[in-house]
Amino acid sequence: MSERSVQPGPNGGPPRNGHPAPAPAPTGDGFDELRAILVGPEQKELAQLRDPEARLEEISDAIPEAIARRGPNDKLLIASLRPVAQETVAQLVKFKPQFFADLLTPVIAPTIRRAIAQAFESTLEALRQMTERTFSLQGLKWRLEAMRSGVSVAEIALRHTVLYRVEQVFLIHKETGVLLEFAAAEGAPGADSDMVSGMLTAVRQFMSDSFHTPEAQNVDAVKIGEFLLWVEPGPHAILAATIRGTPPADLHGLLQDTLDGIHVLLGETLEKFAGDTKPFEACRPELAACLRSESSVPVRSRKSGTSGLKVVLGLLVVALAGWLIARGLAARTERLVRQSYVDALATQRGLVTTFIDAASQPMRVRGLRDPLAVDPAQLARDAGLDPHSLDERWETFFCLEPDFVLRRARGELMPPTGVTLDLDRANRALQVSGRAPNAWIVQMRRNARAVPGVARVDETRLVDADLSAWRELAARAESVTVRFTSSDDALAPAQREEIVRVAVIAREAAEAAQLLGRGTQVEVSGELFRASAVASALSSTAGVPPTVVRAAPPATGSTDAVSFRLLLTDSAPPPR
Amino acid sequence: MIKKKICLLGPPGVGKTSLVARFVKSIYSENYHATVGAKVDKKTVLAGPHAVELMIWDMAGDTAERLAHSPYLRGAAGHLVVADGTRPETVEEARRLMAEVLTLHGAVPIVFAINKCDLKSDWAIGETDLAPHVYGGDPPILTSAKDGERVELAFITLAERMLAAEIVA
Repeated sequence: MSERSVQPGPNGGPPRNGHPAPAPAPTGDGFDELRAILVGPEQKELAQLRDPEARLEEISDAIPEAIARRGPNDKLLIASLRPVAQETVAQLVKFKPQFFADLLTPVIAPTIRRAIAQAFESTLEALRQMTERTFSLQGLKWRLEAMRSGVSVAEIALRHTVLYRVEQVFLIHKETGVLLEFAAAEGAPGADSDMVSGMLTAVRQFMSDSFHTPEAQNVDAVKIGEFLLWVEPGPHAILAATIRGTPPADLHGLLQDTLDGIHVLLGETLEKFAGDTKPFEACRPELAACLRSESSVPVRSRKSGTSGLKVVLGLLVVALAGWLIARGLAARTERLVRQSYVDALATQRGLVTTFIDAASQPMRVRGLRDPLAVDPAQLARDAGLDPHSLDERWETFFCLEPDFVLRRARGELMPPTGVTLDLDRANRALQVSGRAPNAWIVQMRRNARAVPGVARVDETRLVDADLSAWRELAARAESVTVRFTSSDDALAPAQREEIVRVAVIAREAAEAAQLLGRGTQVEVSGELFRASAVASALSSTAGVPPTVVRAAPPATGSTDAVSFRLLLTDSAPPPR
Repeated sequence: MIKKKICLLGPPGVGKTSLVARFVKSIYSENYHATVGAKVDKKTVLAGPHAVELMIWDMAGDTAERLAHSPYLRGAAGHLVVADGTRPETVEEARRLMAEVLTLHGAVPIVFAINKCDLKSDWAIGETDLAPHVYGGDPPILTSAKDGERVELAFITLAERMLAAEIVA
């Protein structure tokens, strides 16, 4: 019985929930029975109410029904549940990100794929339009118009292709005319939006005041140049939009819906507006959604959806053409360079080309080259020809042009100063003129005929310097005579002096003859005894070797004078 | 950013447009052009620690009654009432205007400016006219749109009073 009267806590503990335990039951079965009869059912219900399990069961049945009854539009219910829901989601993302990602992937992935595909398509479409506009007649027209009017091509293109475009949207506080928020399309011409909204409000108030028109009938559209200004009034704010082109009528609906939405969201803030525009920044997405536009350029249907491929192919063709043109230009340049090299070769003396293939790679050149001619490699470098693009082979030959023959002769013979070389073209005779040492003349005679292009040597104007010096000495010796005035053959001092003079000349002449590779003999002519005496004196007192002195009969028949003659001998005397 | 609409009010030819031109664009022109309707301009000023963007409605000069009833005054957070120091009747008219505005629009902050102080030798108003005026007990600010004297002070004073009024409210 005691179980019925005292409700323990779970697990047999003390009663829970702070409820006082029932007072200890008075003893006596009669009383208990009486109580069971009187409040038995209530006690049972009370016990059930106090049972947490039973309570949970009951509440769990009631909650879904209660929520359903409150309905999805119950703000209080949503507000109460929001923090719990937010926290639950936050905890889920934080501690079980993979679970969350798995949950979202099927939802997000197709959207992402679609977005990427759309972005790619729009890029290709923009590329196609740009290509069409750039290269088409229309594109050229727009360019001309842009140049004439000083407006950018993009702006002109926009004017011609856009049916309408909402360029700016202003959210204006109705009473003060203060601009609350503003959105503008990309590239829309800029204006001070604060001033625009202020003046628009002033104009509206002026119209309202001047024509006593009710608010609903106030200015709702103004045409300014190519712009339209549409105004949608609301209880506390007005929404104004500047539009280029001819907008569809349903744009009014969009603007009005947007304004209504803003009033629902921020009606109280608008009503109590005291200058703080920050809360209205939240309206920016709604305003931006009003920046609609429609283009007159038809978007190609998907049937002909190979436009992207066409654009790519077109670009490839353009790239190929560009590559071919560049290659053609490079080839033309190379051709010109090669031609200039060929021309240079043709003008050079001493170079004879026997074969040229200017079209081959590398360019092939065969020919003959005089060693004295210019280096063909230098010519190639001067023409700008890459040495690697040239395969040339030159055989040596001797050019018989007079200038080459002379240059070669000078190189081979090395004429001393005072000697000039020339070539007689008719008989290919090397004309040697001037004074030269005997040794050089001897060597020249030996080598000149070996110089290619020289057939003979003409020495008529060549003077042997050593020989003429010897002849001069010989003439001096012959001018000396030793005279005998009496019959006495003895030599007087004056006669000895003459002999010494001759001896000096004879020694010089012997040295000069040595340069000629020959010897000198002194011939003493006169009456036999007197000539012998003079010859003996030349050897004994004046030092002339006796082997080179010989006496000879008088040349003139005179007997009282002895004369001298120097003779060249073929062989040089042995060195003393 | 706090944005406040203010109105420049006063009889014709007292220099309202010149004050706005001096304040907003730092320019002054001797030429007189009567304002038609209202012209809106703006300038940001520092009132204490706050930056306030003033939307300045430069109103066409008119009588006190017509100005006070003008729809342009709707939503204005403050007014700069202007008179011409060389014409005492404009000072009197400005006082009537202030009283009228206070009656019709409640306790809106008003700053009273007497313009053309560069022509002080031509001034025809006495000490009593310069004494603390009817509203708020503050003396009028003597300005010169030509020299720029105290023009900024007049606008900043109004901005400060508007902010102070907001805090009180």
